Amino acid sequence: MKTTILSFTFQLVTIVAKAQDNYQTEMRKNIDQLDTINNVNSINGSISFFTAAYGVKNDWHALYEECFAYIKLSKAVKSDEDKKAALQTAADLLDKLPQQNDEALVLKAFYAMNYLAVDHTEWQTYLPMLQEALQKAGTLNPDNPRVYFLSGIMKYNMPAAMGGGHDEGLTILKTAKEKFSTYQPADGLAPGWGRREVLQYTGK
Amino acid sequence: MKTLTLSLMLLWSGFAAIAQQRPGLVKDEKGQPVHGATVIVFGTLQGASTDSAGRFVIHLAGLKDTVLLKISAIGYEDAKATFSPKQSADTLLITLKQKKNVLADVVISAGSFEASDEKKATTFKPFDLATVPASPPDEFKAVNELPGTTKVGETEGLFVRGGDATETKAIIDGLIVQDPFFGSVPGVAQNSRFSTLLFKGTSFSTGGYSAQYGDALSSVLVLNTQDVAQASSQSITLSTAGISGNITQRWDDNTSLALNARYTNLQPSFAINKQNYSYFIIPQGEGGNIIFRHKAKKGGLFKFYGSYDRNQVGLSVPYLSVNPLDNRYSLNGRTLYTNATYKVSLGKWALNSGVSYSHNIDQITFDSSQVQKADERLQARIVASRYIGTRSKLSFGAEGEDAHFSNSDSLARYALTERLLAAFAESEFYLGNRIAVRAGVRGESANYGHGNIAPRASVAYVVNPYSQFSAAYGDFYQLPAETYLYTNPQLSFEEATHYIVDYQYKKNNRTFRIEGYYKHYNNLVKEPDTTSFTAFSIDRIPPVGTQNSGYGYADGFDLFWYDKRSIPNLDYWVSYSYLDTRRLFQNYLTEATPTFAAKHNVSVVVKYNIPTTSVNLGLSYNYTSGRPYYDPQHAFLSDRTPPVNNIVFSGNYSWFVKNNLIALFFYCDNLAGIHNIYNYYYSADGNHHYTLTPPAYRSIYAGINITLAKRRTIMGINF
Repeated sequence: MKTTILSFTFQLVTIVAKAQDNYQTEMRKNIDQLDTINNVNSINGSISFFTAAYGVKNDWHALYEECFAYIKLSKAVKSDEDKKAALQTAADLLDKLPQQNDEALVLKAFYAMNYLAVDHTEWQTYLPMLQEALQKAGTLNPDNPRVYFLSGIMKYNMPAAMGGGHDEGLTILKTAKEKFSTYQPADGLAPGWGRREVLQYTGK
Repeated sequence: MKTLTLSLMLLWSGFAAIAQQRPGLVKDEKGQPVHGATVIVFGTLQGASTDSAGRFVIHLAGLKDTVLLKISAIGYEDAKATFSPKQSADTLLITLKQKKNVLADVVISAGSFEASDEKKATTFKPFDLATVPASPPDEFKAVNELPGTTKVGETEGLFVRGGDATETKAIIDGLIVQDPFFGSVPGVAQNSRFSTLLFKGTSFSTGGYSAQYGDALSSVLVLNTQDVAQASSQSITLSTAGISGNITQRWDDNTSLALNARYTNLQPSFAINKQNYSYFIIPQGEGGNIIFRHKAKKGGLFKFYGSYDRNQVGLSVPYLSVNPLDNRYSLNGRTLYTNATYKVSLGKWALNSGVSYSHNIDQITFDSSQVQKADERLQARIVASRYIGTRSKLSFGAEGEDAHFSNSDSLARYALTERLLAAFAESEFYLGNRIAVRAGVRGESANYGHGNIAPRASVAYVVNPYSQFSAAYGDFYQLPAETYLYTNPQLSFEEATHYIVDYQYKKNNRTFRIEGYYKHYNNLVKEPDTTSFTAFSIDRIPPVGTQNSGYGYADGFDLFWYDKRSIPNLDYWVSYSYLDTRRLFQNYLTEATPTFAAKHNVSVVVKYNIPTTSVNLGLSYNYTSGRPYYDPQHAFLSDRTPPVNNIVFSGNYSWFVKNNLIALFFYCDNLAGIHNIYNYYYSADGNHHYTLTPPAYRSIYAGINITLAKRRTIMGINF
């Protein structure tokens, strides 16, 4: 009897562990995949996966990636209207993410940056949002390479008269590159985006 | 045998493969496929998205007897579907309903211009109004560039659709501001007391406004102040008009305090801008304000604004009936203004409450006579509102005011206490997917026994996401000016009824609007047996025997085109207003177009940012057709002044020195130096007249602003 219970318990633990493994593996696979894709259908596929994953675990990582996917979608779709609709969905998801988390704040900054790309006339709202989010993220985790990545991009695209420019931007992107090389992900499902783009800017 | 088994097995597995997928199709209510819809198998990691034909596929391996699908797509309501993998293998058909709150952000455009960072559907952002070329930047001047307004150069205030300036009320955080402008000086329009930087949102009504506000026949300018300051900073501004300083301290995310102080003296300005008037006291004054914000942990927001201003000016006013050469007018004004509001959410309810107190004393000396005008006003207001569902909103509230006015000189003293109680209820709701409605009613009761019930309604019909028709209707009441109530406190409310229809097209940062209106005035104050008319008077107290027997109308249309997109780095708008109005009121001899109304009003505003620099240039052009004046040798108000043309140029350049922002700014009013004429004042016999000109034909205003530690640092990098 004891053996039966023990073996039953063991089986249960194995099943749970397997499900856990499966979740981790599938998530990681999809997180890495999302980083490399750029077309609408593939991004929609990612969105579906992460929506489903969030339904299974209520884990903020899935929500984070879904939000990231919607921001990427805003770049992939053509019309301003579709871009804004995708960003609006991203904004709704951002509100559900933990507010005092450096990665969530970086994502908020990324969202603001992409909003500005669609409609710069709203800079009064989105520029402070971008700066504030990056600033807070940097305070929470000074080693988060994506803070440097987005700061670098921002500086890179800023007029020289305002203290920006390509050279200024590249200096920060090089710091981002260093940060990526020593980057220790917080956990197995930590976001991975930014590294490839930094290398594109700085050269390998 | 082996072969048979193998082929059977293959066949079986083939069947299994076929049965292990279930196709589906997602359509909208019109039967059109929905591309990019997310379909998830609830409780699993399986998600699918639809292709351009709305198709998706569910893999059945490992699924239970009953499968729950959740379907979502941008712009549609979420849907659920269940199926059993063991039963029929038909294609799953899913219909999505269009999300209703796609239209939740409808801003009813009839009679309204709104600038807000929080609402996405507004035509303007607060910054758009703050950067309108004007010297110095002023919310009232910016709004004066919008359709529905007439520029009356000699007087401050907003003249909206045939209404005079007293028919427009300025409202800050829900509370009426008694004296939004510096003390009135004959012939010289004064600036407002409030910096554009104070406000995060502006809503300018050209008619048909919400039941939340009252005591204004024509229009309200609703200004909402900024919340907790974004960052700590110190700044100093030095200009041809004086010096001012600011210290802002933000402690955490929830508390900020700002202190502002100014000393104004137009001496440097008068040295470079030739004045048409002769001043014996150069306009000067000092003032300061305190702005405190605190966000409570549970979400309540407390705001306090307090200011004190003192201003002084003395000039010769060529006042015909006395002595054209020496009519020395001087004003010494002192104003205290405070406004405190508290906003809190209590469950489903949002509660806004506020109280304001102001006290203004103007000491006026005109030749040998001395007059003191004073007003004191206390107002309290509470509004409760809640959403019903996600789309309907119900608000109701009450406000009360207690105001005291007095006017005393060596011969007489007039005094007045005005008490007004008001209650209102308003609902915003949707009828179906395309019609948004705002309907309300307001009741007011004054201390002299008069009262009114004012219904208000506006409705928008959304044709498509870009265009809407809207209409507004409402009754509006206002107590007569205190000078009339001094001699006859029994006078009742003056009344106006507005009818407005409007069409707006707004797409990709381009807005076109056309709006027509009709406004009917009733119960305007009329003086008895009027035999003479003075357009221009200082300290005139009307005679006794006034009645609410005046009337009038205004009709016309406005055109507005705003384009923030066609030309990179350039924003511009063009507005045209046609106004047809006549009234019989006050001391008018017969029904006539009033002196403050112009038939044609054009405003063009252009703003340009030189790419890759921080240089911003602005240009505005205004045309106001001739306004009526009275030459007693002709029919009453039958003559027209020449039109007024004005070009304002502005430029600013800013750069960083370490963390500090330095900004240079420059404005030029009447760039072309046109010799405009504002009005003519005739003597009673018509033999003499005085030409009222702008205080200066061309005015330059320039300065520098230094803001310390304005820059944000991210990881030690300055932005």
